[in-house]
Amino acid sequence: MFNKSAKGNFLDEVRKQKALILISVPYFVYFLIFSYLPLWGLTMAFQNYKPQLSFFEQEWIGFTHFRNLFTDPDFYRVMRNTLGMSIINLVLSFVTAIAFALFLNELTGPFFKFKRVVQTISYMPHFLSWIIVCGLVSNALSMDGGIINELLLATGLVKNKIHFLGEASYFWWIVGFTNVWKSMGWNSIIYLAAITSIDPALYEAAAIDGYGRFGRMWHITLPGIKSTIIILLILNAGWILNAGFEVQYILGSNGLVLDVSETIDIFVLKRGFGRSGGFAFGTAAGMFKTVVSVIVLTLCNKIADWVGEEKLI
Amino acid sequence: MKSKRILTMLLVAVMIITVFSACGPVVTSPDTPAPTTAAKPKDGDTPAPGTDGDKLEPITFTMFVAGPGEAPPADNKIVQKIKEITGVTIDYEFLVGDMEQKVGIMIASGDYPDLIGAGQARGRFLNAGSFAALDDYLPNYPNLWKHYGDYMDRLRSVSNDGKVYILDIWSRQYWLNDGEDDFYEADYNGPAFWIQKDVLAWDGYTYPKTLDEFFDLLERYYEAHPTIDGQPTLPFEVHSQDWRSFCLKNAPQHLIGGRNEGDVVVDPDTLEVEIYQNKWYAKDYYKKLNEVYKKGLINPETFTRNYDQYLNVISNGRVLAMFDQQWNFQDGEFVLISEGKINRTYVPLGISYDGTPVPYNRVRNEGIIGGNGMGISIECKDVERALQFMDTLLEEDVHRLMYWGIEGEDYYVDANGRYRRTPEQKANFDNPDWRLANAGLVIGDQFPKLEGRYSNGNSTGAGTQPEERLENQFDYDKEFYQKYGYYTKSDFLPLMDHPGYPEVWSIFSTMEDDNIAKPIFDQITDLQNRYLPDVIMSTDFEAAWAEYAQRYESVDYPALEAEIERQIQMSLYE
Repeated sequence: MFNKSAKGNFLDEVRKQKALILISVPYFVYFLIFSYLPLWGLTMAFQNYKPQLSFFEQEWIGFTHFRNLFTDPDFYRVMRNTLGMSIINLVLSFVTAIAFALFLNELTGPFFKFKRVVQTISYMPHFLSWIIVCGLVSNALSMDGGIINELLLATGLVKNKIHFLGEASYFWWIVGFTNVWKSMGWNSIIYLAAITSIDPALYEAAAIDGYGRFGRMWHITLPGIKSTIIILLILNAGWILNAGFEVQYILGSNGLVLDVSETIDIFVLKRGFGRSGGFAFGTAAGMFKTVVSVIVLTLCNKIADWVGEEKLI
Repeated sequence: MKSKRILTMLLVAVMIITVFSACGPVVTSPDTPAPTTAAKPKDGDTPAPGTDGDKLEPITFTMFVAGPGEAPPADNKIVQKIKEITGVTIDYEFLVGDMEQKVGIMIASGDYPDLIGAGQARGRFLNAGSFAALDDYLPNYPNLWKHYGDYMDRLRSVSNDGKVYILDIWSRQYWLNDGEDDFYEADYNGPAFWIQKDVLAWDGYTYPKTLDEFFDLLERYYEAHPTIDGQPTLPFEVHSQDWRSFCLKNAPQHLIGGRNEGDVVVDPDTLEVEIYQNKWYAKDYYKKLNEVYKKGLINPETFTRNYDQYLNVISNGRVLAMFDQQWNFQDGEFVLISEGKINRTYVPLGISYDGTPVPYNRVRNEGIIGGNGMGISIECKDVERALQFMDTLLEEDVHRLMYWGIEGEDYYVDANGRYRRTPEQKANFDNPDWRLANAGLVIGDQFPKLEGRYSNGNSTGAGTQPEERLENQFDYDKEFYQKYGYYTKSDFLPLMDHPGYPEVWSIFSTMEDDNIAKPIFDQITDLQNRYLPDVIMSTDFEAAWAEYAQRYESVDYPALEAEIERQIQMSLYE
């Protein structure tokens, strides 16, 4: 009886939502075709894949590619680079975006109209493609009339021009600050939005209690956007293996910085497509990255739960 | 209410259909066999050459070219003429960025254009089975058969199963054997130490014969000319990006007198093969580079410049010299010519260790090599029509359109029946922008073409007509070459006999995927690209070299040498 009624309820429900279900069909089909069907290609990671053979003619070789991956010294190098640049990016972009939002929020009264101008200018670079940004960066850092070297020389800070893009120890920081330049304004928008939801009465109360500007920032604004910060931090930590691809590829493909510039994405591309017969190996490396990302994301989600914030998934 | 619901469902249905139809090509298997034409008669009938009316329905072939280039605009007059004659439009996609990756993605997706200009990526395409076999087709096309009939073995030698997949588009020369053929050879555009004419002229038209003399000259010129046109002079460039790192690595093989084999040196007598990037003649070269780097003759930024930036500094006219192949930097040189800075263009030097001029890659022509060309992909919508198109391009009249232009507009015929151009017509042709918009070379360069001379004795290309080369040579060039007693820039290098086997780098590029030499080759390539710039820039050369050489020892390169020896034996010309 219980079953029957449950079943009846379900069918009733379906009947009631017929139109809704039909509307969702295209999306279902879309994801099936573009997100789930390609997963089939992961089988390549377990094959001695040859593109001219059909699926049934492929030779299955188990975990050989994964074994080769984990014994490849280059793999540890690209993992180090990926994590290094990822952490620098994460920390830099968080600190700068939050600080920028806090300062922008303090532009009140006669300066209010500057706020809009500054905000617009600061998020413009977000819409430039990486190719353009990297062109700008390489021009700015060039020894051949680049603005940074000219400035350093003119102010007497250095005696000789610095070969920024050819020095391995600078590379991660160049990537980090390029990211900051490109995305700081855009990233700060969400914090500015969060700040607007803080009750203005709190600021008035704090002012009466004798807090200055920095005091109010520290004791009211920051705690007010704490949950936004934590959620974004966790969300971004899940993408720890995505250190980026374009900047490293465009600025870092010369022999001088290759050791520190290759990320796992570039590794997958180079081994997968750049070499004969590398499709399967590249697939295995890409699959490894995906699996790690899923695990990290799940963990972060759990952590969010523990610290008492809303779960994301 | 009801009608609203019906409307919703209709919408949904439309969306589903749209989604599915959009995905059509994704769902179909890429393994379908090579499509053949359904409409036209099959073998037995001789296909009508070119100009007949019945095969003229317009068709567009897509084409990928694994090399640099730019597609001509659709209103280019020659492109339009060719379209009138053949009904064919070619939709070009030239290589941008890294070749290996672009080709890898194309192969993985199985999404081929109709035609593929395989260039140096031919091995990847061949191994992936991307091309349709052409053995049975070729005899049906008179011009193509005349072009390739004698060279079928060389075309076949490139593939692993002995079929013809790639039509070599270069070096099929037609000579009249009237004793004048030598004057029609094209200018040398291969590897050498290329140096600005102005540097040699400044030094009193000298010819540096050794590395020491060469860099000494650069140093003296640099001291006297620290800037050129207001910008800092760059005495010696070492380009090292991606696959173009041959500019960094390939010089040592020539310094001991070898041809351009790529990563190995072949003993001319015993045909023994030697990897050389860890040998004395490589070490001496990099040591010299290190020495001149410390003197400031090599700007450290040369290693971080990408290809566009490299061409840019060359087109500024402030690079005095480099080791490179002329076709690789010619886009920068074209800019110099169009700006009239002829003294900033380059000539090759046959520098060697012992001071006797060596030929670099100036090798007497041996006809078609075999694999340097284009193929018809298995996805091609009409193989016969594509071959018909190429057959038509080999007609002398059509060929003339592409390489000379239209009579009366782009060239004229003088009283002796010789093709000539006015200085103005030549200036047009020398301007890359004009050429792209008004000339047909872009088409011709991608397909089989006539080289040498037409049946009426004229050259097959405007640039190689001897009297024009003499008369229309820039005054600067004429005077410059005369000082040396030369006729063209090619004369700076001695001419070498063909050693009788294809260049080793071309053997490499057609090797099968699972050949044991492949991973070893990848390893040494990585090693060289990564460490050689460091070696050149090191403060302690001996230590940097020792570290590099030690890493080299961890690679099993003798296995690679043995494999290449085997391959050379297999591909010796009869």
